[in-house]
Amino acid sequence: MADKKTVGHAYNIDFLNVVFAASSIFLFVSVLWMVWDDYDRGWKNYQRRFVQLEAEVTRVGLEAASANVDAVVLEQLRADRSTAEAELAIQEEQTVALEDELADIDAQLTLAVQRHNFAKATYDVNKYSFEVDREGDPESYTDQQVEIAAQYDEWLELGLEVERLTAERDGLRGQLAEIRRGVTGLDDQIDALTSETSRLEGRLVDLAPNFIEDYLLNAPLIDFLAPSLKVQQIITPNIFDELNFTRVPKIDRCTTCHLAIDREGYEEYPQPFTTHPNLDVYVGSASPHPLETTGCTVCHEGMPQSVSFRDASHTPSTEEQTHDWEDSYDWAESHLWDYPMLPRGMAEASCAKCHVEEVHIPEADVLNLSYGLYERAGCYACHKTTGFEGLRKPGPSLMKIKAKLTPEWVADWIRDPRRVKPTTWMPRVWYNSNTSSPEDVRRSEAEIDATVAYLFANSEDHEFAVPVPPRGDSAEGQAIVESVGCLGCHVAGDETRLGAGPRRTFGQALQNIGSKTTYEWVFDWVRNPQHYSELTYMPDLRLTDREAADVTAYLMTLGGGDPRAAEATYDQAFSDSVLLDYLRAIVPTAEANAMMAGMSSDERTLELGERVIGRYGCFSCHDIDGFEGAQPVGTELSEEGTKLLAQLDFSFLDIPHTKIDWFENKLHDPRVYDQNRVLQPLEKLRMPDYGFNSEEVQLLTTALMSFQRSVQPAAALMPGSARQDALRLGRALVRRRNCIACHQVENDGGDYRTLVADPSLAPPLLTPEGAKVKPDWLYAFFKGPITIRPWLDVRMPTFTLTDQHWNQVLDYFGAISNTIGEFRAHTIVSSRGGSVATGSELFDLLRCQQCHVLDEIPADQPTENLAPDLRMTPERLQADWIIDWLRDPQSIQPGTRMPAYWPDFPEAFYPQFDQDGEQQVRSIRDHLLTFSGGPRPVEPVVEAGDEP
Amino acid sequence: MTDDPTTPAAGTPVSKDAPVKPVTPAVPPNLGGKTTSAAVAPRRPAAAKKVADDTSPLLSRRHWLGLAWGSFTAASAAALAATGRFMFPNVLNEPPQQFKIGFPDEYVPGVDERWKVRYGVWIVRTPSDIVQEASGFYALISVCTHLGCTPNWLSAEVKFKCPCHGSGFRPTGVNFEGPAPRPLERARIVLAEDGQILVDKARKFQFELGQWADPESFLRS
Amino acid sequence: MDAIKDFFNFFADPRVFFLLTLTGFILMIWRRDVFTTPRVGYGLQVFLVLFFGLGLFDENFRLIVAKPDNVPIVGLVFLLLFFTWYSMRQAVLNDRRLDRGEPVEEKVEEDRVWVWPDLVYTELICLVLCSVVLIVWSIVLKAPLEQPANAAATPNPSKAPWYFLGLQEMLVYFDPWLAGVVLPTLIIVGLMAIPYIDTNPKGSGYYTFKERKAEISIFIFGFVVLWASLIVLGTFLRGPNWNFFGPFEYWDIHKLEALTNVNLSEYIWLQGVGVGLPSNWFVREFFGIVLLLLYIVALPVILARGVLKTYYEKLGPPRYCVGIFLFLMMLSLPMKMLARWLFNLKYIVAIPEFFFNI
Repeated sequence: MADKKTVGHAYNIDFLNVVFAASSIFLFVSVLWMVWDDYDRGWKNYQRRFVQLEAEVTRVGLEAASANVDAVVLEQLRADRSTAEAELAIQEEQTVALEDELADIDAQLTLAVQRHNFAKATYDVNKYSFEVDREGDPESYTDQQVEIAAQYDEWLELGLEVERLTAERDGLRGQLAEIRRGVTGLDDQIDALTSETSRLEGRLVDLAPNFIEDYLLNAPLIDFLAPSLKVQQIITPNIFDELNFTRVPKIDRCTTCHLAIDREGYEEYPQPFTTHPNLDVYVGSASPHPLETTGCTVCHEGMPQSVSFRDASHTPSTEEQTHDWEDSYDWAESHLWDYPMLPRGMAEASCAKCHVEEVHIPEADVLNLSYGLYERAGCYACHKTTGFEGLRKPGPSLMKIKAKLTPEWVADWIRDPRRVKPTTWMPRVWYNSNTSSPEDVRRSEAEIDATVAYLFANSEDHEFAVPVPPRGDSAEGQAIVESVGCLGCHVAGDETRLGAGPRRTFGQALQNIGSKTTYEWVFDWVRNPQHYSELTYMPDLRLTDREAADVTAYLMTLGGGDPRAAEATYDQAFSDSVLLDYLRAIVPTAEANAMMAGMSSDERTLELGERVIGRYGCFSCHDIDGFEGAQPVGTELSEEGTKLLAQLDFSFLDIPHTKIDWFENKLHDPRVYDQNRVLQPLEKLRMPDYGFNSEEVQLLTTALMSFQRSVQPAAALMPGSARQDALRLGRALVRRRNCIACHQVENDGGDYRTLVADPSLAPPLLTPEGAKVKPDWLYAFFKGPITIRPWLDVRMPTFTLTDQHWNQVLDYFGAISNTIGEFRAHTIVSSRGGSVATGSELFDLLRCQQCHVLDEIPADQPTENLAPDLRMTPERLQADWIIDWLRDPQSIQPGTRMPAYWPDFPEAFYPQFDQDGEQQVRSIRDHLLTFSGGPRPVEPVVEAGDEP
Repeated sequence: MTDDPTTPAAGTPVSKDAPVKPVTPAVPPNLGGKTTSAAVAPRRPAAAKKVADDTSPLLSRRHWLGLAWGSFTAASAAALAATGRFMFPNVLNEPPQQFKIGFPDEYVPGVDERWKVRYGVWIVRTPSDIVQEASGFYALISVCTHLGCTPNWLSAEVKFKCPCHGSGFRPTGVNFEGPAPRPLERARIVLAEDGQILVDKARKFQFELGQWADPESFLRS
Repeated sequence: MDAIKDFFNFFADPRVFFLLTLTGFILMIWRRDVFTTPRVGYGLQVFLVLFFGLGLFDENFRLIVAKPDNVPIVGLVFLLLFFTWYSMRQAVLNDRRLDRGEPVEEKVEEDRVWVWPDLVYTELICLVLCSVVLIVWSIVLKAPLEQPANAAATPNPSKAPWYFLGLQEMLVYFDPWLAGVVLPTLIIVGLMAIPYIDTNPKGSGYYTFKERKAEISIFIFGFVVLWASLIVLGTFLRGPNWNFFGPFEYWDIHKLEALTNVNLSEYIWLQGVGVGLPSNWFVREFFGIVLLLLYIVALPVILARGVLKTYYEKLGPPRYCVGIFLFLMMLSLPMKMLARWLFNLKYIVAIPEFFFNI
């Protein structure tokens, strides 16, 4: 090495040493920091905390289990065991001798088994080669055959030896067991008593802190061996994430922190340690959505693979929670995941991913209500949505509007519908937040008048069936309206739209109808709705003309409403300029001017009316002449839940940048995104304002989020079957025709019960109908309803459904009861049979006639106790069902007043048939089947060539 | 660094114009870092005392270098350890080691192959186990103990037979044929909280080590 | 405060920004004696530190500059400034020594190279420090894990990696064939051709400016003013829809700018002559083609006879032709940019029939 004194240096080496030392120390520190930064994870803290929680819960469980153990008995058993052990000790010599013998025999047995095995192997080989050899030549190789037979015998001999030794061994074992039985028996008893407590104690020991397991094995750099803190994941075999050009099974790591999600006992603990609600429907191993096959994110969305709170895209549900999370977890909106977690309460939006196009999903109450709202509000009419095709137009037909309304009333109505009828579903098209300037108001008035002119000019004529109807009594009418069932679909009083719900506002609101239309029209309608509008869903209540007159008189007293007055005036020149704007959008200005020059002022008004109706899409909800083939004007919403955030225009609104906030703001005020913008009149947003309140907005947002591009493979979906199809179609039908407003089916519906004093005065429960009523009878009943419960005021109307619909209803009932497609025998009973006589005895003994109608309504019974006419039994009810009903009415119709006469079935309290309940029930059934003469629906007759 | 490279850096001796410093005989000049032989000068004590031309601030040159190389080595060792740790992923997209297989009454006595493909275990229900002498379940891991192939269950011949080299195992898992040196391994099998059977392949039990007596290797029922 | 921000926002407009870098470049070359003083060097760095440091208090600035992808470009700005300053300084110092008749610094101790321990030890220290910087950087600025790529959703803005941002900027002004294929190829070919064109033996192994004025100026112009500053522009000053946004301006995706552009042929025929565009492309683009040929063929000849006569003689015809061609191609970028800014000029020659536009 050169002498450094003579060479010289560029740097002071001693200084460089210091620099080197300093930077090396920094390097070491930064490497340690790097290791720590990689090691320290939030989820590990949750897992450490959970160990403590689990210990707590286990301790509580242990206390409970210990309390269940009878300490005295346990003491006794333990004492007995010690004595037994002592006794055993005395016999030690004997046991030792036996054990020696046993070991001996075991050895001999092993040897014998070995010889046996060898012999078998050899025999098998020789037999096989013999079989192959003699294949072509069956006569030869006889020597071999003899040899093989000998080997077989030898093998059998050896087998016998094995059996002998085995028997000897088992004998010895038996003797030993016998000797030890005292102890072992007591051991078993003690184990049986303490199984739960020892299991929990063992668990507590596992959970107790242990240096090696909890600290050493979880230490940084060493934690690859056998850490107790590890990422938990669920890979779902049938549920996929749709990435570009490929599908990847979902990998849900939520359970890394949500450690008790599928375990009972943690309901009271805060997140992330809470148990999932409704474990028997979600997440539990016996539920239809077990955790291992469903995972978490298919329902809740969010980033599945993340194990950090922020990146998993947890969504706060309230503002307060947002601030709380920002402080505690440094939470911020996640921009790097397209589908953030659904906020609490909206998780049911994901049901539609697998329950494809189902209008009613059992247990999904939020979603079902959302869909109910979506349909009643008629969103599907303007916004095409898969699953809602082919439904009726939500609003009444305007084809014959001349006969019903006056232009003045219509103008007031469409200016602001909710001022006339507060619960109406008709939205407000004008006077919204983006059309409130004076100029806009003038335009609005011109448009309103033009629309009205168009509707009336294009209206058909309508002749009332009874040109001069009788006058009725409004007090009688009120009684009828409030009892016969009108209120099941119509609201007449002061209820709010959400309070009444989409089912009881299924029909047009009756508020203020007196100031809306004429007596003649109401009479014509109430008497026969189909006369005015063939397609109406309103059924025929089979009112007499007298009753119809009373109802009409009552309805005409419902006046009121506070219509909004026009807030601007305009002249012809102005409305011409409005029309010019519309025409210029489709033809060049010169041509537009020419067109207008060629029209009279009335023609121009009508032209403007047509343009206005076309722009705002009135025809989507109402039948209007001239718009029969027009296309809906709204955005298609079929995949709205999958829509990317970047496709939504937040305009100048300062709201959180999420899809849900966008939807909610839009639903609160559909024109809000026009705020602050400079727009030509025809460029403005045009969705009308429905006046939704916060609950309705949240429900509709849930519905929107549920409309997804379906990506799950068939293996993940509900298995299809005829029964499922029948259920699906039936559930849709009973909702779209509003059967469930009056009747409860499958734990849903029956809103009518809120209008009567007692549920028994409401229309009956229909869930058991499939097993209960004969389908043919039911079909005839649908075609022409009769009175089954004569004490009821409310009556089943006559619905005009096609046979296809009725079949869907019948199949639906059959699917609920699982009797669809079953062959039912027709049971005919001879009235002279022995069981019938006893049945009659029992019938009197049990005093069935006290409540059941039998031609006469029983006297001295409050109406709540009355029961259907038993004369109809043989024609109406299914014979097997009667037995099930008699045996246990509560299981079929919970809450029924029918007594349970055989609570300890098949033991009976009554003496007949030697107290054999089975035969007693059967005999009563047989007796009932001999009745006749009850009311019966008319068998519908179909002539050849009739339309179904 | 300096503007003028001809200026000698600190640490080098001054130019010839400077007065010559007297040099004590006991301290020979440090020639380019070479030390003199031990016979010439006694060994200097280490630690705080600096060499004459040592211009290091605070500590001695030896200290600084020691510190520097020490922490550099430590950092390298830590980085190497971190690299080694990196080779063991925290989580793998593999089937889970622990899984539930249903309720006990879903199984009849005998060998059940329903989880063989998915999880690699046979579930065997026996009226009397050879070691525990009780009725219940055990889970055999479907890996042949010879060289790791997957044996087949031949129900007609009541044995597991490995197609690779012919190893044969009884339904208990005990090897009796072919080159397999030891019986099939059993996996931990316990009852989960909700009543289902839980199999855990992370813990294995080998017969030849006497581990089949362990209560978690056999589920009594 | 807002006035200061508006001030900087103004200066970041591409027209102003480019002019600024150009002026800075000219000033640097012209008054390099001042530029290379330590005071100016430190001063510029301090100014940058203050600018970035104080700018971080503004949210919009922070979002751009503190984005993990953009942090290296901040480093690039500092480093580029430093290395340009340092190399010019060494060159100026050497030039002064040459003026004084002294040998250049690099030649002073030619027989020795200080490797052990000077070079090697400092390399070791640099290794350690670089490792520290990288480790700390990777802990503090984590690369984001974004959502799975979605063909239906294009990120806005969609920026190329930093080394291609110059190209992406060029694509605003040029046809993709030119900006994406021809010009980059010429850049690479040009860099490869430098040793064969540049016959100047001076400046080999030591810093100097005065002995290699043209070469260094051209290179710094091409690299710093055109390439690097376009990268800086593309990183910090281009936002959604590839609109310009000042460093303190909010990235509004709805911002609109008037960007209608006109071809040369449209100017000439429609506005100049006053007739409709000829249907035959050759006739239509005749003026543009002529202009182009003048630029590429006639201009070098004129320059060779005139201003660049010495170069023509020194290099000889082949080298001169290649060199001038590359140089003129390089200059075409700022010229095209100017034409776009001043005249809304889109293409000089526009032949969409053959997908050929210049």
